[in-house]
Amino acid sequence: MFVHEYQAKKLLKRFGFFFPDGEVAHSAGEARAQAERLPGDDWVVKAQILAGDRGRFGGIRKAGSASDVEKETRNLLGSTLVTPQTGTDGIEVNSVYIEQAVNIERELYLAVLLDRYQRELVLLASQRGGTGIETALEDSPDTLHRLGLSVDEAPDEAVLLELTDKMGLSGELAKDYVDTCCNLHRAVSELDALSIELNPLAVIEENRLATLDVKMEIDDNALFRHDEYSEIRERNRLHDRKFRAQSGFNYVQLDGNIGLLVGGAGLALATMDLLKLHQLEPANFLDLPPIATRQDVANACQAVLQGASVDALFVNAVGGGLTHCDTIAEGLITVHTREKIRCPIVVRFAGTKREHGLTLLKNYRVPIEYADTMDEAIEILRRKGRR
Amino acid sequence: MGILVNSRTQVLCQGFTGYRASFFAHRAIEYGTKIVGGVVPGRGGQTHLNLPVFSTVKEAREQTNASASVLFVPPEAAKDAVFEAIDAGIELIVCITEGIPILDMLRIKQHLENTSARLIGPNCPGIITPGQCNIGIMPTSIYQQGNIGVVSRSGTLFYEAVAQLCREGLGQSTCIGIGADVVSGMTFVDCLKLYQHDPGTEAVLLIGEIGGAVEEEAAEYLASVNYPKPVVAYIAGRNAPPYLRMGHSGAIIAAGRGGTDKKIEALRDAGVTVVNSPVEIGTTVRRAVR
Repeated sequence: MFVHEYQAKKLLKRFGFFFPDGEVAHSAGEARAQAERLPGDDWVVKAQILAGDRGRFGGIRKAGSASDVEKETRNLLGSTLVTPQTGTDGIEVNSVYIEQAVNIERELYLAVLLDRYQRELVLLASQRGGTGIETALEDSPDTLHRLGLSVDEAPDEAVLLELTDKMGLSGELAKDYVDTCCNLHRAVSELDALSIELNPLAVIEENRLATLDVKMEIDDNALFRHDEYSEIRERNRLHDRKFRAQSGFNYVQLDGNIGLLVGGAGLALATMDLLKLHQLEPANFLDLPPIATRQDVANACQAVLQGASVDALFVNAVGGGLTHCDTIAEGLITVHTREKIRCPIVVRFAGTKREHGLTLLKNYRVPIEYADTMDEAIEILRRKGRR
Repeated sequence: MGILVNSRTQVLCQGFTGYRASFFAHRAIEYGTKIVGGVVPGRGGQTHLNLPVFSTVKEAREQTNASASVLFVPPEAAKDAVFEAIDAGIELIVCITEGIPILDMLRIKQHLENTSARLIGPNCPGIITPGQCNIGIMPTSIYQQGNIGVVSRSGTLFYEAVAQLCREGLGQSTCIGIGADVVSGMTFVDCLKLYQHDPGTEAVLLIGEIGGAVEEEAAEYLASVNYPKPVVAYIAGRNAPPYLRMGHSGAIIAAGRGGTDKKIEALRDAGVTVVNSPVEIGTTVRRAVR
């Protein structure tokens, strides 16, 4: 899961990073009060959304007085920010972070993250930080430095010192930078983060390094060993309408009209590809948990049917592994018994408990059209699902 | 023939007495797999499914000579259980467990590096040499003996592909579900290297999907060795929904990799027949071998 900037800064505090003073606010009045409490006479008001590039698209506002803070907060809260990272619909702003403004001399980029391609932990560093980092790197890829890291052993200080040279840092700043790298590595390792990105990591006027913005992703698989994440998870889930990760299944709403209830992510992806090949449009992507219960299936089915405009439901299951066809059937029956499913339902079952699943659907009089293969299912859907 | 497992392979089950482990171990035994015992900390000396239970893998290995182990342990215990199997000298570790923290997987990967042990998974369906040995959670009834090696990241799509092969009268030498987690054990390349020298494998089917780079690595390997057997691939996820991005690190590190188009292009360039539609996997393999 991603966490907001203010949440990340709070989580990282104990690792020794330097952040300007700041507080989160959920209303304009609260923002004003926070500004009055914070040191200094100017602030930045930063929209808290789980996407980047806020600065270039109006999500970060300067304020020279507490009443400016209040005004900018009022403008931001409830507004929708659209950046290259939000998708075209944008994301609604529900909270802001009020932070003491600092004078920036230089902006650097520093991250420690899981390299999903090389399958190792890496440190990425560039002397060209800020919002234009991607384009800066396209222009001059040699300004990016990459360092493979072990999970539990601290990075080699000699190598980090070489890096400070490449960053153009010396003296106290270089020492500060090496510490920041080590702290960042330790934070990733101890917090089970998949990535922590400090961008910008700024050289500020007192000749020290300050982390001005943080992007952070936590490994959902590690939540069991971090009590501190449960509150963050709850809070963020409430505002994450489009990308729901509820009761164990992943659901993403799409623009099409064929609802998909498919067992397993791989088969779900393949089913979407197959629909597209036949000019049919999926209404959703859905990934059931590997060990789905009847209730999981029912919840997932409900989510699919509540999607924008489902003209037909395609249930595709290859029983095997841990979820069998009869469980899928039971989930479907649970939903249908509660409230009749009105759209056409095309069911394709194969593998373990196929017969039993079909018998159950018949006994509970769920009106389905049955297909033995994906080919046959597509034929039926072409007739039913064309807009 | 086939690779990694056969009718003589002796298998341990870690987390043996759990509900799922019991269910699948029982099924494996029925299939003819030589399950020789199980490991559950603190339960040494008991018997389960008429087999001995040991408290440690080391003890179990000394008593049974098992060379493979299948893990049905909870994710919290997975890292230690895999370490234990590696340290006891188990050669093939099949980890079914889903939801292992990624940093734990990196720790496992690092630990594996200096040993000859192989890890399949985690979060995978396992491995089967039809008619001989089944380790994992696959629906055994769909597999048939034959000459096609199958490796898949996805579980359900794996079963779909195998069902299509059988419909075309094509049996399988050994099928391996490597799992789709970001960090895992054996990759497509590791499997391709083994199939290459297996006289029982005539052609290889790879089932890949969007994300990661194991397909690109397979393409690079195939191109570099003049692979002696036909390879067919299907890559799922051409129309996968885009995910929210957060920050720049994702795009920086991806550097153009991970998308299905690049994977398909790389595989085609390496001489692989890439299947367009997921319903044409079986027929495409049939054409490739005849």
